[in-house]
Amino acid sequence: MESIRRRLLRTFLYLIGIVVIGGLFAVSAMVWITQQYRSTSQVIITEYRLVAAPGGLIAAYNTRAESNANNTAQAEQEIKNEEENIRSLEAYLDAAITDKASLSDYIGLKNSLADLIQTIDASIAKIESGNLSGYDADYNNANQKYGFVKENGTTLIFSELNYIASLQQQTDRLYVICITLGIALLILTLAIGTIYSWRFSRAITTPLSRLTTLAQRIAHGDMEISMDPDLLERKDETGSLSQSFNVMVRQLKTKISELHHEKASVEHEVEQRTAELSHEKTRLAASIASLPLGFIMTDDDGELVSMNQEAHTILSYHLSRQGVSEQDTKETRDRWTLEKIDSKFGSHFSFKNELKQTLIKGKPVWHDNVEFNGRVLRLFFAPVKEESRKGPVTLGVIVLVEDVTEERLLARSRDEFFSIASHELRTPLTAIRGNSSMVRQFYGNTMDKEAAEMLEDIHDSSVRLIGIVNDFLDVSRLEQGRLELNMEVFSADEVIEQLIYEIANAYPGKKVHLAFEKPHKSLPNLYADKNRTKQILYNLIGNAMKFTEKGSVTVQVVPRGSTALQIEVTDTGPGINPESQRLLFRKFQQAGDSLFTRNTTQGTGLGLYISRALAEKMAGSVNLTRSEPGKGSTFAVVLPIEPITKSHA
Amino acid sequence: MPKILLVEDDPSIARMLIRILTLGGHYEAVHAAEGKTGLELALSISPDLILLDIMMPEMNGMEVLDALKANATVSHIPVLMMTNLGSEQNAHLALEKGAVDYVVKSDVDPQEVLATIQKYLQPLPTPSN
Repeated sequence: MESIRRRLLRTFLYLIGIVVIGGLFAVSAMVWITQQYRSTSQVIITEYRLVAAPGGLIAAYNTRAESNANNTAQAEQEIKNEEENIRSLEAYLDAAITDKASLSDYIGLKNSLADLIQTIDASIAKIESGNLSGYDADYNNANQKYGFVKENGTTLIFSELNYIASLQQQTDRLYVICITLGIALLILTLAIGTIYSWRFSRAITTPLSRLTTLAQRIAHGDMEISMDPDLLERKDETGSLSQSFNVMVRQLKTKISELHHEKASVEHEVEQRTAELSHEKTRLAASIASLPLGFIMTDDDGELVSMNQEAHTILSYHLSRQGVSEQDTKETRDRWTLEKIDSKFGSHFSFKNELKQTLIKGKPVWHDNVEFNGRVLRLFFAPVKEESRKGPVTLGVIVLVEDVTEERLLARSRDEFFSIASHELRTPLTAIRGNSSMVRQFYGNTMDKEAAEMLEDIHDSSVRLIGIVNDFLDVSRLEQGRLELNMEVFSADEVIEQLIYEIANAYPGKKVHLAFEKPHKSLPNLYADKNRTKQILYNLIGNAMKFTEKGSVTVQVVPRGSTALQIEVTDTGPGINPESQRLLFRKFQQAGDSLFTRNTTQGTGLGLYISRALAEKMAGSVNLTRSEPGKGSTFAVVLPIEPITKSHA
Repeated sequence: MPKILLVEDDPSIARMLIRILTLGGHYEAVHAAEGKTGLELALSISPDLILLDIMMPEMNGMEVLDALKANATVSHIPVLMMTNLGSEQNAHLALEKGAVDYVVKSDVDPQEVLATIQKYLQPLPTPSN
């Protein structure tokens, strides 16, 4: 089946063709009839003129007869003109008259005309020859001939009129035919048009309604549809629509099944993710719950969001009526509010205020040694921030709470132990030192040399032992971070001079020159703990003196950068070998493989360790700057100088 | 002869210090073995200097110091803390409370003790301070 459009066009063209052809036919028929009519009319008119023409001839003939010598030529000319006129009319009619009936009448007319002309010509010849007799008879003859002419002419004209009447009839008939044909054509056109419209609409609406039904079914979710094969096989527009529709439906089905798969896989993923998230959440919650720290979270309004078991445990401490710090078993986790927490702290610590400050400042802060109902807590407030377009936004606060009571007690007790231990050790040592010194002082001259020496050894031992006890206490304090410094501004020179005086007095007979090489220009003051600085220098200078047998021990001060001074103690002692240098600043360390291989006369082995630790605590350092075995060593202490400006806010 | 009150609970240390004061410094030494007695003696004999131990039973040296400085009749007497507690904190605290110095007994030989006592004995403060 070809395209509907083409079929329509074709039919339309046919109809037009028919109409056009019919029209042409009718028109040409009408034109032919009109032509006939016109030509016949023309013939009739000419015949009428032909019939009328002899009248003029006869008049001219008459005139010729009555003319005199002056107007004869004019009259002859007139006759000639008339004859000429008649001949031209005849000529016309000769050609024009074709049908048989008229022709015979026309011949009759022509004969009578010829006869008349002949008669007139003969008469005129007679007149020209001067014979005027018989003119009247000729004139009457001529008129009689003219009467014949008129008769023949009338017959001819009637014959022509008949022809016209027949033409009229033909025209009427043709007219009827045309009308009939026209109506028939109209009906035919209507019929064909109706039939075609109906067939056309059917050709279109039927497949369209079928497609519509299918589309509705699809819209209702019924994807199991199949197209009618004849629709698909059509080769016209509905066929291509159906095929396209079919393809669309198939693709739709595919797409829908794809989407279903995707949905299923997305759902599966969501399930998995949710499970993962819930695991994460559980893990996180479990981690927080199992933290040995108390964990409290608040939102940005300062309202409690969550709290873990440890926080609950810590915060439920209260002082019983007997003043004992114990846990309140009546407290339940879900009844905590910020107000409640805040109220349990004493007036010395405002939990709410600290939260607010953290929210406002957006910075984490520690609070150590906060007393809470007989316990000691360490609290850490940290803001929870999130980046947004406007910059970091604080979502809330996390508070970590640690019960450090045991720790503090332990530290306190350890410190107490050392304090008490050192006090206990010092007490008898004081007696030994003091008394041995006094015996030597007051009874030295009554003693013999041996006894005096023994006493001196007793005294020196007690001093040594006291030194060891002091060192132990220092090390313990340093390592626990419990050593307190009293920082002040003082002159290095003063301290050095005083120490040199003291130490020189301790080695009265020693042949080692102990001196302080004062700097040429005045140096800035030190900013450090004076007593501890003395301790360090006493250690270094003391060591130098102890180990040097001959030569000198020199102390110098030089600037170190723009922020510190360096005090150098140089000796001409035996120097320190590289192996021993490594171990210098360690506790008790001495070079040698065996524990038994120790030089026990050389002090505790803690001096340099303590000196370095003290210097570092004061933002300085102690180092062996150079040492050559056999030549000597130089130790250097670096300590900060007095700060110039204190306005670095 | 200047009178020096010694408040010290350990007998051997006390004996030693008394010897230092009498044999070395030729001072008159008065001894109290515990805080309360020490306070009473200070009030009654009005010594020229007080040597005060810190670690004592019942009333410790810091408490005695507070009491001395709170009592106008004795608050002018120079108090030298003599102790074997070596913490700087304690030294500060004592000096803040009004002690004139703080000596760690084991760190000094008798001559130093006498030198330090002498330092604080020389200017004789007027009671109205």
